[in-house]
Amino acid sequence: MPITVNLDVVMARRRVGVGELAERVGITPANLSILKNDKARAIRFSTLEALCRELGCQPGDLLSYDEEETNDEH
Amino acid sequence: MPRWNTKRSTQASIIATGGAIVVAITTACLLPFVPRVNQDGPVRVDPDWFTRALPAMYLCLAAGLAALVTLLVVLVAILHDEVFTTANVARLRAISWCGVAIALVCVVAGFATGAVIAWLVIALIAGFMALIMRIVKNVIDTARVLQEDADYTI
Repeated sequence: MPITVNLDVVMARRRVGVGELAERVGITPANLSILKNDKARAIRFSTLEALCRELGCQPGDLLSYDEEETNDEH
Repeated sequence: MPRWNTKRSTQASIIATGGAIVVAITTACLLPFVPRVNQDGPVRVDPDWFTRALPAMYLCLAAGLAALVTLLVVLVAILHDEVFTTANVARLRAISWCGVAIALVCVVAGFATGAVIAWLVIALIAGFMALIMRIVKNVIDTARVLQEDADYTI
């Protein structure tokens, strides 16, 4: 997948743990771990909005696009 | 009276499949005696023809039994709410191939033993069953991907 979730980087910068963020965002720690470990297939706008609100960042800080990975898939 | 639901329907299918397995095994056990029993019966069977057709019948029974046992495993998995899984897709694919195997055996047996029309009718039914199973397999596989997407949408 050429889209990478950089949630772990942002969380480390903000010094916030999985349990605490999951509670603030309103999702389960298991689902937040899936997102953090880049195993998610898709993310809802509502989840993205809550993450941006709680981490004080932009969607672009959490997601990045890697063109090389797209080429690797083909 | 208990209401009819999906679980009961699956249980009924399991019982029916179990019954079909018993019938298949019983048929396999009784097949060699068919010419003797039918010697003076209403439907006469030519013992020579029957002996020639027996290997094909057993091959069809073996493939049919394999399909039925696999179907039973699929139904038990469905009963345990494991529907859209790669294991079930593989099982349905195996059942489909069993149908193809039966169809091929019947075509060969038809030309090898005579009674072509009867064998071809069975081959057609088995081939059609294989086709339906393949379509069901494709549907389950697509549903599995959709469910995985839904499960991993956060």
